[in-house]
Amino acid sequence: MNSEFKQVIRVYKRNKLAVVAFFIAIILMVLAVIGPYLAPYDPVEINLQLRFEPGFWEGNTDHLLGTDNLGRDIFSRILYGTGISLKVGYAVIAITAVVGLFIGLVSGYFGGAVDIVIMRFIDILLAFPPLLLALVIAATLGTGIEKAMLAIAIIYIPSLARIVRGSVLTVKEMPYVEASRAMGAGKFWIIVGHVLPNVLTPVIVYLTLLLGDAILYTAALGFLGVGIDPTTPEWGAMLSSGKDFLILGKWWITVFPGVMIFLAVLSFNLFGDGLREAVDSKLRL
Amino acid sequence: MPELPLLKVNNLKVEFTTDRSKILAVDGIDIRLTRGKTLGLVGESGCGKSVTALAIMGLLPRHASISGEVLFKDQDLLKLKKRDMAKIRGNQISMIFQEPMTSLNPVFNVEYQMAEVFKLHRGKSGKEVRPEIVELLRTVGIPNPERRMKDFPHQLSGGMRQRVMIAMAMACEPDILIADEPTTALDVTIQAQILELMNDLQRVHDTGLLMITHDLGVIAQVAENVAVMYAGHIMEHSSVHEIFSDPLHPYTRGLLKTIPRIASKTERLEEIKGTVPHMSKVPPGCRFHDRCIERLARCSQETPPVSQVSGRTVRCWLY
Amino acid sequence: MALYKYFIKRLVLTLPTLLGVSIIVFLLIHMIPGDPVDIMLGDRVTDAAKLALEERLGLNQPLHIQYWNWFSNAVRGDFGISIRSNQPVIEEIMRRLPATVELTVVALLIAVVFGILFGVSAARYRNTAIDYSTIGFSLLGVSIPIFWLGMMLIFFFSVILGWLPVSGRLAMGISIPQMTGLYLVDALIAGKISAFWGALKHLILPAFSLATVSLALIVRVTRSSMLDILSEDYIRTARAKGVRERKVIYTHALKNAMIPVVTVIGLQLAKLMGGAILTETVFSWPGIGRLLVTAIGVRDYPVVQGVVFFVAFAFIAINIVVDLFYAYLDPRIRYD
Repeated sequence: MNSEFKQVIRVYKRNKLAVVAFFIAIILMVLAVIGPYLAPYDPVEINLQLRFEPGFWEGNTDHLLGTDNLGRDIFSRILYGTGISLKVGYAVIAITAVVGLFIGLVSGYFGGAVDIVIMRFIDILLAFPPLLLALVIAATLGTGIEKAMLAIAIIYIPSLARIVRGSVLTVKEMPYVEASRAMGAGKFWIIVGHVLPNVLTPVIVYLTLLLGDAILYTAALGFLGVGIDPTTPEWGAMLSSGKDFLILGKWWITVFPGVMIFLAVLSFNLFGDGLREAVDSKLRL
Repeated sequence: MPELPLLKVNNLKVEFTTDRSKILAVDGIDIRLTRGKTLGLVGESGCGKSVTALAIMGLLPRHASISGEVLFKDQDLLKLKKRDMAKIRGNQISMIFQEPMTSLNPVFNVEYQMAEVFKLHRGKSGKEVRPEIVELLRTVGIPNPERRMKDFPHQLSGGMRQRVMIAMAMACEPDILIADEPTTALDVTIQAQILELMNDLQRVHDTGLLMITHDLGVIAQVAENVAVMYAGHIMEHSSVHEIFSDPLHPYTRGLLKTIPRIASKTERLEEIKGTVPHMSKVPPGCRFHDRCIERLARCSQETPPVSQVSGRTVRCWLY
Repeated sequence: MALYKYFIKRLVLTLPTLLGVSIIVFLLIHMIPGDPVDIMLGDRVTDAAKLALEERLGLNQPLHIQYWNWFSNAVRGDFGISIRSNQPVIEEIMRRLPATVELTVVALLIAVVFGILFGVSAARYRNTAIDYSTIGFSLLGVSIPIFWLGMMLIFFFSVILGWLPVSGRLAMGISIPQMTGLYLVDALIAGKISAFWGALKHLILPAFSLATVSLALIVRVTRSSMLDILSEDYIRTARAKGVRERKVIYTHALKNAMIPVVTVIGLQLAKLMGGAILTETVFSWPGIGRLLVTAIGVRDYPVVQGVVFFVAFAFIAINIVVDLFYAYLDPRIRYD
């Protein structure tokens, strides 16, 4: 098991772009944690005297990235925002993994009526354009970061459940499962001991690709002001508040948060891609 | 008087350049193909026989560099522009391949794929050629051709697909047909039928056939002349009778010994010791010397040239 | 099996899904916190007024009766009355639908046409500058947030360069006689060329920003699909027959390569519909996306229900069309 892991890393390292992405991702994760401590100002403190201040490009050393329409320091807000976006992203992954695995395992292993009902339900959920679904659910659940997490997770849970179910169906027929049953192993043991490990690979691949996407959806919800309180220093929400002032030339309110979203999504996507290629090559060998 | 050869390949060399290395897959071979006659090109996997065929057809990938001459009707095919070579392919020189299961395009039906050859080289329209296609399919032994030509490849068996391939290849009555292991992927009974079909077609159209195979049984059935290829060199070139009755090259002799004979009483199958070298690590001197039981000291140092022995050619220090 | 039989089969299979969708939509919307009645009445809430309004809106009936009333009407095209504007919901939707359709269709066209073209070129000229730049672009394109891209495009092309308008579908003062509601089409029909250009200028930025992510994805999938196909045996056969390289690529290879690409395009439609919501907000584009966002803000149940159901329904219908196209491309599917 350990040597397989080492091999995956070796193949991954060959992809230079993915390696760079990995380091950027690490930096972002570190920022997510220590960001609030680095921030020079309170991200939500309104200071109407200092509205629309440009940043370091005009010599402003107090507010490096300038201030927004309510005088809030953009640099601080971005630092706090890193934590928010990543926290939501990881929470989405966790929720999706747990719920998706559970549903997929149950549906795949027990089959029959349970399976049919669950799959129909999944079909229905997949009939919605994802952003629409997240939007309506977030609106239903109300404002709050946790609710946004759940809303976004619901986009991915059906797909993951399907993948898991597919894996389960394949593994179920394998001879070693039959052998286990013949030896008297109970259902729970079989599920956890045999089915789960084999299902893990496609699941992990799916989850790594999910993070970048989830951050995008978080920003989208923040931008539309649904599920995420518009005053929170979330990158998407920052874009929304700065939108109308772009035409007036106050570009820094929207450019910096947008760049952060782009950078985060890009690095996590490249990381996920690189990982997937490395894992694929292992499978091929 | 011997007929003038239809196809003359002189000193053909093919080199593949990859990121890491250069591989000389074919290292100076000569081939003569005569109208109405069959030349069998025999060798094990990796000896370069398929590469030779692709070189003649101009179907090698971009990273291959080719040198030498391929003379066909007073033209050096290697010097032709791509567009002109495309006019010759499927028209005057055709090729069929080993895997009938994957050699036909799955999204077009048989009629479409066959009509294409006519449209390209004879300028006819789809409707005009329909009766010709039916006739062609009937000739290659496909039952109920009017119905079957509307079928898609996945609805046909392997043997039938290969027949369609042959029909497509012969559609424009080419001067030369190159067949690269056409029966290897088929059942033995179908194999015999396909070979007989090819023999018949050759006789009717007076086509020169280049039959590439690793199977000496196939050679015995269809070839008049044989060239034995090993690691990019042609080791022996004789008539089929001479190859079987009086093989000159030790490799040829070894190959013949490996054919199991039902009547003999020996218990162990014969083999040639060792394995075919990878083309990036070719042995110095004579390429076969490390597996040759009649090896001389000279064989590991100098590569033997092609020498003439009573009308045949051999590459061996024994002569 | 003939294509139309396959179509009927698919249609029948999706009916239960449609029913399920309607139930979910209904339940969800009704769980949204915040009472529309309170919002509508504002400060003038008295119990009597509240009751009267509830009665009128049918909000005091048990949930399943409300659902049935809604559903039976919805199937007939009657989605009720907008709480906010007092107009029939269906009219609100229809009035704004052409704007969204125009935007989405043009974006889809851009994404598909350029996506396939660049993808094929990248595969054909593998490992050259064309290939590398295409891959680079597609990597970036997939990761960029559409709404931010829209804003940056506005900033660059409208504010800095002044070439293109900032928002809306048409400049003030210009009018186009409405036939289809699609400005480009209507302007052409009416022969008003300057109006056509005006509408086009307003459409370019939103359409491009909406198309980018899908474009990047389509390029990627087309390229990898083409690369796979080009190494197949039957491509070698085509060349051996003497088929010209251009036909080999665009006929023999492409038809096969399109099979996975069509799947991706089908998935992209959902993303485009979602993305339209964002793009319409950025560009103040008067489509149903903006209608939805506003309606959610004021808890306008009927409108939200109507739009969501409408969109889900359209999405299902489009998926069936995509499946049909799939079956047309790959005859192996029909014969299962």
